Amino acid sequence: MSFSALDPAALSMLEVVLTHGFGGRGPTAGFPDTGTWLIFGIILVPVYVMIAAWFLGSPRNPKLAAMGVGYLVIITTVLWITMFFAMEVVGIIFY
Amino acid sequence: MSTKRPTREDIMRPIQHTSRGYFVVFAIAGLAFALFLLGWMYQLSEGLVVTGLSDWGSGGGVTWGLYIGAFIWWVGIAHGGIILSAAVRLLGMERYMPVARLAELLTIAGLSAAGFYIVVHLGRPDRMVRSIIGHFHITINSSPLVWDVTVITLYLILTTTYLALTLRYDITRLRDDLPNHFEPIYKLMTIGYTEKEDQMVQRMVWWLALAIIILAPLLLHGGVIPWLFALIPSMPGWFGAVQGPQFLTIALTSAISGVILLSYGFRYVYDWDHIIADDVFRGLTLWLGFFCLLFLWLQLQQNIVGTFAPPLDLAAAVSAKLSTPMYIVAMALVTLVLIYTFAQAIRPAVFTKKRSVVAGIAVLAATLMEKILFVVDGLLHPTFDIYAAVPGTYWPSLIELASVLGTVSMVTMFFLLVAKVVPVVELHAVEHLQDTSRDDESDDGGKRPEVKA
Repeated sequence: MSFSALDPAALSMLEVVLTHGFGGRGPTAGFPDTGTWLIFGIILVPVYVMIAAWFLGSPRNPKLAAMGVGYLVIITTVLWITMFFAMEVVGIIFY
Repeated sequence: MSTKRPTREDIMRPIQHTSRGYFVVFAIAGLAFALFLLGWMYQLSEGLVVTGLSDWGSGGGVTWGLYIGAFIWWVGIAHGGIILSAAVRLLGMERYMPVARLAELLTIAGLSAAGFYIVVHLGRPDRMVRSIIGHFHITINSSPLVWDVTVITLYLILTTTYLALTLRYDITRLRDDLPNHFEPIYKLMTIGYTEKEDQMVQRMVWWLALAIIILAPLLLHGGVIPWLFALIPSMPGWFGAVQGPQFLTIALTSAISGVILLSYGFRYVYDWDHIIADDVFRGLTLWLGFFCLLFLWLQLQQNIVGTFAPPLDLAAAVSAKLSTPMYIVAMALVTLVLIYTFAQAIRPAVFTKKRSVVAGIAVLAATLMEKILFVVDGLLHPTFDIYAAVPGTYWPSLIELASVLGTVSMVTMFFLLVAKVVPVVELHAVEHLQDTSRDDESDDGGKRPEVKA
């Protein structure tokens, strides 16, 4: 089913979600654009391979591999949440 | 070469002993950092306009200046860590094992300084996280700036994970000698540790090193960072596919220089001549020379293309670059370092650690100048000279200049603090050196000495 076949109201709703109402390059906003395949299809490939190797390689220890993934997730979360609060403080003080 | 044997006590020395010099260096670095923070606070309260970078109307068209140049410079320095770790883990170059963790820490510190520059260059940093996270699914598709933030985040996370996994082994075995006041940190870092995991963790960090070595140099500094510039056809000084390899080679020269300086500093302060041996510096100097060669080779490519019957816009950009004294100074410094590297390869007596340190400082100065000039010159000389009517020219403001001092101080303080919490030399490195030393003695037919644990 193409997006043009969507109900106009549904399409409008989709645009709000995907482009925050600002429109995009294609019918589904910018989603299938260069950055999509570049970041998720090329740049992240070494990370996909690494995680696959953690779980599938030998010696095998899924629990430890999951711990490694946990490290990645927790560090990402801590980094951005810390940054969020730090920047909010900057906002409160200066703006 | 020193005849002293590496011991656990050696790598615990930074944690267990604090000299007066430590406090003096910390105070100086703290003051320099505070000076920059004051400048940044002034910038936050008055706006980015105090640097002249906030619009197209005051600096001859330059809106990216020292901040962006220094951002690229710090990411480049950060690569030193993973190159050495990868050399040790993936290529078996065990010579660099004693400086691998120092270099990994340099990656984290360098990336933090680079990330800080992104925040400092924003007119409204308070909107940064909301803008990036809230619109990520849209902006990731078509904004190289968001690709850049994504990949730098990824690089920082992978490196921190790498360090966190390798520290589990060391902290567990050295726990009795580590200070009790950091107990909660050590408990958190070794949560769920069992000796059975060692082999598996070694395998995991091998794959981590492989992922980072592909991702960081090739796709970050040879990818998304140069694409911030190389994809803009109206800036002939920036545009073109050569920027990927050029950025990478420049980054690698500054990375190796950073590791040379750091290794020398720790060796000097903690009397680690038996741990960070002269061979490490010789090897690093050779790598430095090799990357300087690539750096200059790619500059030559750009200068020939820009001077032999070039398009008009490129001719103007390259001509302006070649007539800038700062560019000549930067290239001369890199050339001198290349000459030194060749000279010490031909006549080993030419090599000294101090000369290699001077070479490292020269390259760091040259790469910082080149990076700032690249950013500024690119903006000053666009196609059709479209900013010709914009008044003024660019010169870094005092706040921008203070930012270089501030971030260097920030990185210095990072090392001073981390060195008090975890060993900055891997326990594996000491064990390896002890094994090597024992093998050497056995080969000599001498009495096998008792190796202190």
